[in-house]
Amino acid sequence: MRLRIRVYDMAKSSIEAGQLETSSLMVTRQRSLINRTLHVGRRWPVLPIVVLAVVIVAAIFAPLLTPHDPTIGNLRDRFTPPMWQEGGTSRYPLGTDENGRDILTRVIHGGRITLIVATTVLLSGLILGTTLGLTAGYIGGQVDELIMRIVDFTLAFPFILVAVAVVVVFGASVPLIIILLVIFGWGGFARQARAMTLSLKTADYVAISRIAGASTPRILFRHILPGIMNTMMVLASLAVGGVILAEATLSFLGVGVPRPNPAWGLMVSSGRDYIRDAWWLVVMPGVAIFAVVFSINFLGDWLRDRFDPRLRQL
Amino acid sequence: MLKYVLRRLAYSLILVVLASVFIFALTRARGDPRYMYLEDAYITQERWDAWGREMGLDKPIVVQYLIWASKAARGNFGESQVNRRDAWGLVGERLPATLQLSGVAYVLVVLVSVPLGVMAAVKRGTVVDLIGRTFALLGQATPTFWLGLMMILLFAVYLGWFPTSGRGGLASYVLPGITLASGSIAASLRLIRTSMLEVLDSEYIKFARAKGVSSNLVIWKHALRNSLLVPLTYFGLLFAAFMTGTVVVETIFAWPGVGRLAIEAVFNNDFPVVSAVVIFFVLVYAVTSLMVDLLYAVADPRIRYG
Repeated sequence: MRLRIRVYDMAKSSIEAGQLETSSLMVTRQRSLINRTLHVGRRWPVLPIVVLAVVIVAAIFAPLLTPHDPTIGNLRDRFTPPMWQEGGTSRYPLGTDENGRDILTRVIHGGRITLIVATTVLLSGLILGTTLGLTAGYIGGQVDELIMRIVDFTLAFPFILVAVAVVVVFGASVPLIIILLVIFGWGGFARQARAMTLSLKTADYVAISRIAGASTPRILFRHILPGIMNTMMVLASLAVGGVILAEATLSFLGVGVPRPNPAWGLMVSSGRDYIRDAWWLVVMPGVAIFAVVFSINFLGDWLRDRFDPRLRQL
Repeated sequence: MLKYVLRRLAYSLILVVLASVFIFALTRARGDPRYMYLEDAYITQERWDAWGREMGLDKPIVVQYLIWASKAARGNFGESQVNRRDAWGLVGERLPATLQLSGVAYVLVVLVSVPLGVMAAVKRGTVVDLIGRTFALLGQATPTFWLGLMMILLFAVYLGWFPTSGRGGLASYVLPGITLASGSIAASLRLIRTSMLEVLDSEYIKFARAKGVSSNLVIWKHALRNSLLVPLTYFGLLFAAFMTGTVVVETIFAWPGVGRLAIEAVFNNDFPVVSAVVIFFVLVYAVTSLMVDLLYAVADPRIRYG
C-alpha cells in the first residue's frame, strides 16, 4: 500500500511540483536578467513588494480613491477608451466598460474581492491542513490512513466541474467559492505538515515531553507546530498565486464571484464580447491578475529561499 | 502484483462511487429532487406522484441512492432541461470535439517540451536554459483564460491569421490547442530537464561516453529513454488534466465540446447535463490514473514487488 501511495504521490506531486518547481527557477547561481531588474536593492525584491503594497493600499481605501461607483455606470460614457488613446479622457484613466463604468475603479475594487477571498481561503486552508496533517502524522495508523485518503480524493476530483455542479444547485456566491477553494486546497498543506511531523515526532525533545506526561494536543501544538510553522508559512505564500488564479478562473466561467461584483475574472469574462472594438475591457483586469500573481510568486520564492531553502526540492 | 492491481482497482472504484454520492447528495440538497428534473411547468398530480414512486422518494435515502445509481450506471442521468435530449447522449455527442482538441494540445506539449527539456539539461545554464526558465516564470502568472483572449486579440482580431472562435478547418485548432497546451509545457519541460540531468550524471552514461558512443546517440537514445520514467506518469495524467482544462479553453473559443457543454448547462440551470459531465470527467480521471499506475508498475519492478 505504501508504495502504491508513493507512485500516486509522485504523479500528483509532479503535477503540483510542475507549478511549484517552475517558481524556483529564479534561484540560479548566476543571476538572470529578470532577477537583477526585480531585485533593485541588494536583497529585497523591491518591484514585487511595491506592486503588492499599491494593490493592498488601494483595495483598503478603495472608496476614498475614486469618485466613481464600481457597479453603477454612466451609459452615455460607455466604451470610452483609456486616456492615452484618441477619445479618452482623464476622468476615466483606463477607460470605461459596456455599462459606462470606470475600469480603474472596478480594478481597484476587484482587488478587494481578490484579497478577501485569497486571505480567507489561505488562512482556513492553512489551519485545517496543518491541524489534520499534524494529527495524521503524529497519531498514525488508521487515523493517518483515513485523513490521507481524504486528501487523495480531494486532489483527484476535477475541481472546476465540482464547482460547476455545486453552483448549478446553490447559485454562485462569494462564501461558496471560498468554501470550495478551502475544501480543495487544504490537502497540500496537510501532506507537507504530515511529512514534517513524521520526522519531528521521533526527535528527542518530543519523546522527553511525552515521558514528562504532556498531553497529545500539547505536544502537537506546543512542541511540533513551532517546528513546522516556518515551512507552512512559506508554503502558504507559494500557494497564494494559485488561489488567486483559481478564483479568477471560476469567476471567468461564471461559477465564482457573482455579477455585478467587479471581480477581475468576471470583468475579463464580460469584456470578451467586445474584444474586437474595446480591447481595454479584457486587457486591464488581466494585467491586474498577472501583476499580482507574478509579484506574489516572486515574493514567495524569495521567502522560501530566505527561510526554508529545503522546500526548493519540493 | 495481483494484490497491487486489486488495491489500485478498489481505489479507482471508491473514487467513482464517492463522485456519484456527491452528485446524488446535490440532487437532494434543495429538498424535493423532482424540481431539478422538471421539464415542464405543468404536470398532473398523478404523474408527479408516479414519478416520486419511481425515484423511491417514499423509501429510505440509501434505497433512493441505489435507484439513482443503478440508473446512472446505465447512463441515465435524465434529460436536458433545455432540449429534452438525453444528458449522457449529449456528452457522447460533444466528446469527439474535446478529444481532438486535447489530442492537438497533447502533441504540442510533447513536441515542444521533450526536445527543449533535453536541450535545457544538456546545455545547462546557457541561453536555452534561461529562455525556458523565463517562459515558465511568466506563464505561471498568466491565467489561461486571459492568455487565450490575448492570443485572439493579437492573432485573430489584429493579424487575422486564425479564426476568433469555433471549430472548422485546420486553422481553427491552432489557438485553442496552444492555449490548452500552454499551462503544461513549462511544467513538463522542467520535469524532463530534472530527470534528464539525473540520468546524464549516472555511471552508465559516463561509460557510454567513455567507450566512444557519439554524443547525440548518448543523449537521445541512452539518456532520454531512461529519463522518461518519471515524466511518463505526468504525461499520462496530463490527459486527464486536459479534459478539465478544456472547460476553460472551450469557453473562450466557443469550441463545441464537453467542457463548454458544462458551462452552457450552468447558465441554463441544467442539472441533468452537469451531473452527466461531472461523472464523465471523474471516470476519465479514474481510468487514466489507473492505467498510468499499472503501466508504471509494469515498467518499474520496484513498485510491483512493493
